[in-house]
Amino acid sequence: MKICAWRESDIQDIKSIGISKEDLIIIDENISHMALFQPDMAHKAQLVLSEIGIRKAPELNPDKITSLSELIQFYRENVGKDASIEEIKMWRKDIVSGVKPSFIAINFSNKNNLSIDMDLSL
Amino acid sequence: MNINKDSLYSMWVRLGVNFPSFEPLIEEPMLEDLIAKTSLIGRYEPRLIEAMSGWIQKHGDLLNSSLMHKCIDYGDSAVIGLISDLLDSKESTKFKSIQKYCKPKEKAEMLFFSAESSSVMKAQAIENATELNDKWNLYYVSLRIKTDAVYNRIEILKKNPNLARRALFGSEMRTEILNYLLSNKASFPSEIAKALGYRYHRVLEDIHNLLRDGALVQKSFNKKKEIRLSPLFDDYLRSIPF
Repeated sequence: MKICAWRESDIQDIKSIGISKEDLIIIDENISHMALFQPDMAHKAQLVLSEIGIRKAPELNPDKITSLSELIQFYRENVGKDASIEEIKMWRKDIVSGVKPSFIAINFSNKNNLSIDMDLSL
Repeated sequence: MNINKDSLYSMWVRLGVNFPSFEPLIEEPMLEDLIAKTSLIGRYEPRLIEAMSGWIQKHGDLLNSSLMHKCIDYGDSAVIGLISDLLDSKESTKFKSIQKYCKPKEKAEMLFFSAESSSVMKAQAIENATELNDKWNLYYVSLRIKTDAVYNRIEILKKNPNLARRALFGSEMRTEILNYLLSNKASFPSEIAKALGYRYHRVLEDIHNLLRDGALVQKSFNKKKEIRLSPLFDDYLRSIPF
């Protein structure tokens, strides 16, 4: 339950209690079941598991990014730092107005590649 | 400022929050000071902020807004502003006066630092943001107002005589002067004003009135007027009816 309805105070609990192998089996069963009815929620639970170091983080392809949380994670992997809340608010605004998260991801991925190329040319 | 998080839990236990793993502090803490410190450390410990919110929601009438203004300076003023804005209480006028002294964050932040490293939480906090989040520039996934973890009024007043006197005489400067004299036996107006953070002339005015009405007595001490509670009034103040 905690993994699906992930709250700030749960982080402390998970750190102090930990997750056993048996817990993980139950969590996986629940996530598989949830994926049938609420795929977004199941996907979010997978991201939470990767954030707390239980699972390897999924490789994110900018073309296939569909949610704000994936976008934030992709930014971290691609740019090498955490996106600020201001940036996230801006992306959220864009997404609400119809811009696809994948478009934003491709955009800053290209920018990042461009700056790396520029570094090389120096 | 060096603040120990365990001592904050113990202070809240003393004030009537149910944190079963912590013992109550021996001395009664000053509520406003505790709120200021919790607004800082609670950003690392969500349960402290949730308990504090529940306490204020339930017993906000015991909060002294003048003392709170002074303590906001060393607390996290945006956190105090957000919490007082969130609560739905009949003390809304008092909370509004507190909010006037609180400043929102210049740049948007997560309320709880543990969420800083979580893209899932950041996304959720922004997706579900309310007007209050935008007003104070503080975002969170979940902030529960834990009133169920806070004991009822009588239980709290029985264990905290300073709060009991606020309940009886009002959460005002005069009550704080009496509380100060009860714990310090004797003092000088300037010393009281400094300790409580009130303006000297306001403290002096109240002391004059209390002397006039026989609650206080004074004697000259090194050319200064030392004041203390009159013995009968001292006894009266210590007999809390709870």
